[in-house]
Amino acid sequence: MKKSDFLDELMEIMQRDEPLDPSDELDSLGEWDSMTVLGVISMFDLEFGITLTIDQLKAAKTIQDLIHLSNDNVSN
Amino acid sequence: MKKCYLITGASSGIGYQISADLLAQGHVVVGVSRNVSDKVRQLENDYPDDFFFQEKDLSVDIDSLSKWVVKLSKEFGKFSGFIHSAGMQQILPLKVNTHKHMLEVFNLNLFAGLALAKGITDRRVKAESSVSVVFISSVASVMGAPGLINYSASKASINGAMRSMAIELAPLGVRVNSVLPGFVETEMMGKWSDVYTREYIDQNHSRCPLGIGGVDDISNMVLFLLSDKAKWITGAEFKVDGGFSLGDLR
Ligand SMILES: NC(=O)c1ccc[n+]([C@@H]2O[C@H](COP(=O)([O-])OP(=O)(O)OC[C@H]3O[C@@H](n4cnc5c(N)ncnc54)[C@H](OP(=O)(O)O)[C@@H]3O)[C@@H](O)[C@H]2O)c1
Repeated sequence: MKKSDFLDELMEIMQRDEPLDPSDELDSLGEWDSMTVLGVISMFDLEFGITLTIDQLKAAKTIQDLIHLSNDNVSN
Repeated sequence: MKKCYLITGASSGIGYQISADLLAQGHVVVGVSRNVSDKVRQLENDYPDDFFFQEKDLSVDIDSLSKWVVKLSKEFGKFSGFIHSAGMQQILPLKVNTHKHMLEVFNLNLFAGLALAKGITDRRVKAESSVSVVFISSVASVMGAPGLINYSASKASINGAMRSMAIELAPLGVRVNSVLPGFVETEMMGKWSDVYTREYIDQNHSRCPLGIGGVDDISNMVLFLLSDKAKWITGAEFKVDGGFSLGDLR
C-alpha cells in the first residue's frame, strides 16, 4: 500500500478531513481514542494480515511508528 | 431549537409520517427513498426551506453510504438524529429461500441502516449536543409467522445490533433504540393481501386488542425517542402494537 493511501485510510478511521503527516504525534491527535485503536487493529488485519497487539500500539508514538509496524507493507 | 434529521423511507408510510411531524415541529428533514412520491412533492411544496429529498436506492453500494452521509452534512448541517424506516417485507417459504433472497432483505433492512448509522455518528457529522438513532424494527423480530423467516431475522438482527451500538456510542452522546410496530395501516400492509388469504388477515387483525394502528402511533413514539424527554433511554426496544404481541390466548 502506498503511504498516501495509508494516511487516507487512517483519516477515514479517525473521521477527520484534515490531512495527517507521518511525524504527527498520536497522543496529540484528538481522534486517537480506544475506538480508533480498534479500527487500526482491524485495518492491519484486513489489509496486511498482521495481528497488532495493544502493547505494540501503546509503544507507537507517531504515525511513522504505525507505518513501521506494517513490516514494509506501506511504501513511498 | 431547530435540529436536522435524516429519515429513510420518507416517501411513504411510517417514514413519511415521521418526516411530516418533525417538519411541523420546525425541524430540518433530509428524506431518502428510491422514488419521489406525491407525498414527497407535497412536503417539498409545504417546506421548501426545511425538507430536502434524496432519491437513492439504499440496498446497493452499501459501503459508500457512510461517506455519502458525510457529504450530506456538509450540505445540510450536522445531524441530531437518524431514523431508519426504509424496509422491505418479504413473504417467502423456507423451501424456496435462497441466499439472494436473504441478502435482498438484509441489505436494506439491516446493512443499509448500519452503514448510515456509521455515517451519522461520524464526528464530522453528528451534532455536538446529543444524537438519537431510531431503527424501525417490527414485532416480527420477537414473534413468528409463516413466510417471514428472512424478514423476522433481519428485524431481530437490528435489535441485536442496536444494543451493542448503544453501548459503543453512549460515550459519544449517541442514544440508539428500536421501535417494534405491530400492524399499521400503510402501503406495506396493502401488499399482504396479495399473498395471504382474507381469513388469515382478518384473524391477525382481530388479535390486536387495540385494533390496527395508524402511522401517527409509531411517529409519536419515534418523536419521543428523538426528544430530550428520552435523554436517559438507550439500547431499548419499544413494542408499539396495540397489544398484538401479548398473544391473547382466547
Ligand atoms: N406497516 C406495518 O404494519 C409495519 C409493521 C412492522 C414494521 N414495519 C416496518 O416499518 C418500516 C416502514 O414500513 P411502512 O409500513 O411505512 O412501509 P412502506 O409504506 O412500504 O414504506 C417503505 C419505505 O421504504 C422505502 N424503500 C423501500 N425500498 C427502498 C430502497 N431499496 N432504498 C431506499 N428506500 C427504500 C420506500 O420508498 P421507495 O419505494 O420510494 O424506495 C418507502 O418510503 C419498515 O421497516 C417496516 O418493516 C411496518
